Amino acid sequence: MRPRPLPLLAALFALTLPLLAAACDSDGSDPTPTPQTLTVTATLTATATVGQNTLDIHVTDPDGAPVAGATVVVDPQMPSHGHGSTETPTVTDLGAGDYQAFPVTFQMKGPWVVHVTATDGAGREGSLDLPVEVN
Amino acid sequence: MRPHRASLAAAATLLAAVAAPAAAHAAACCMSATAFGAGRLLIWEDFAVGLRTSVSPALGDWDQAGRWRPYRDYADLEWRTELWGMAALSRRASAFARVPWLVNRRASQGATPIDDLGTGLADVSAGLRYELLAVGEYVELPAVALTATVTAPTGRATHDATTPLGVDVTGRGAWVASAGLSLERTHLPWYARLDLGVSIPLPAHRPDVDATQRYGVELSAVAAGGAELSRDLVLSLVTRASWQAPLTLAGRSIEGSDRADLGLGLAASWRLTPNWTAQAALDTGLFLDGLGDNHPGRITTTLGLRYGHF
Repeated sequence: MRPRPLPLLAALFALTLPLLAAACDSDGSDPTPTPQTLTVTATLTATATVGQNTLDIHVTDPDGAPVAGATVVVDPQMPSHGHGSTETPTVTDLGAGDYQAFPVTFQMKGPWVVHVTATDGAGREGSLDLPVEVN
Repeated sequence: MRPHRASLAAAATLLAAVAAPAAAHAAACCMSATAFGAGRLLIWEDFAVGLRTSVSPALGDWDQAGRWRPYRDYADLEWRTELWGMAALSRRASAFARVPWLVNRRASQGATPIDDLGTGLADVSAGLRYELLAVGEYVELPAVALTATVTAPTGRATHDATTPLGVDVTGRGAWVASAGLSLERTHLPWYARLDLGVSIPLPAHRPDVDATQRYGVELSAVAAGGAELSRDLVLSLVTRASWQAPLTLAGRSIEGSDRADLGLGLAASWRLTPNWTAQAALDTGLFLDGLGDNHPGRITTTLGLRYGHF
């Protein structure tokens, strides 16, 4: 005697329901949405030179609103020579989404990349790789 | 291969071909042993020790596209002093060691002018040399020697620097294993020498990015020819070429991190007494587009004193 397909499908559906329920929150959306990313922009205050430089940073949320109080990390690297900077910049929160990093130290001439990452209180992150030619 | 790399490779091949001792007829002497660099033991020596000091100002650098860019408002000077020694282990084998000390000065007239001086022990190396064919062993054949060298990261790497311009950086932070082949032919008063080498840096952890980095394999060639102008004075013309493969960080090759270098030098060796030899050398990069890649260009003046015991 062949099994009837309808009860089998119903049983399978019943088993699947808890899995679906675990995967969705009450309104049916994904329970762990990808955090919306922050937008990071940065510019050096003057032409990059060997030595200590200052970097102005601005952080905004997905709606374009400035993000104050974020944790901002600045890491200058010289990938083509296989080393980073001799100093770790200190980042100051100026308010209204503005931050300033000093010293951004380039200890030699050549192509550098300044990695800037920002994380706000809600866990949203943003990053920027700023290419800098030190002449 | 980028065009300037092709020209570098062609130039290196040409230099090697020109300097190859094809026309040499006899291997009569060992005058090139002390002609430049640490050299080797004379065949009658038990050991030799020496001190060399080199001053190398950088005049500019080649960018990743091989363009030469003179420095402006920036000074970079390296003063390297090296104590070295070598000792015979047998008729064919010898051991050597080099202990370099580095003084760096860098000055920048940037937004925040800095003029820094730093110093420290650089990367120490030691190795073995084995003479497959000694000078004069066979009249028809050049002398042939193999070398194996290990360089230890005894210098301070960039991630341990404490000065803004990194003048206290004296090492690369990685072990390096090297092998070399040296060919030498003498036909008095002339000699020619060709040194070929390969250096293999080992992986090293970079704490600043918490990743493993490995510098690229480096190939080098040094071709030298010279003449014994008098019984005790040898003058040499030295050409060199090197190329380093791109480095890898966390297993990923870093584009544009390969390096190339060509140079030209003069060296003089003057035997003051049977035991003491004075050495002087001048080495320069070729400061033109396409004759270097991704490194500073320097002029190096070297003075040295060598004592050979027998």
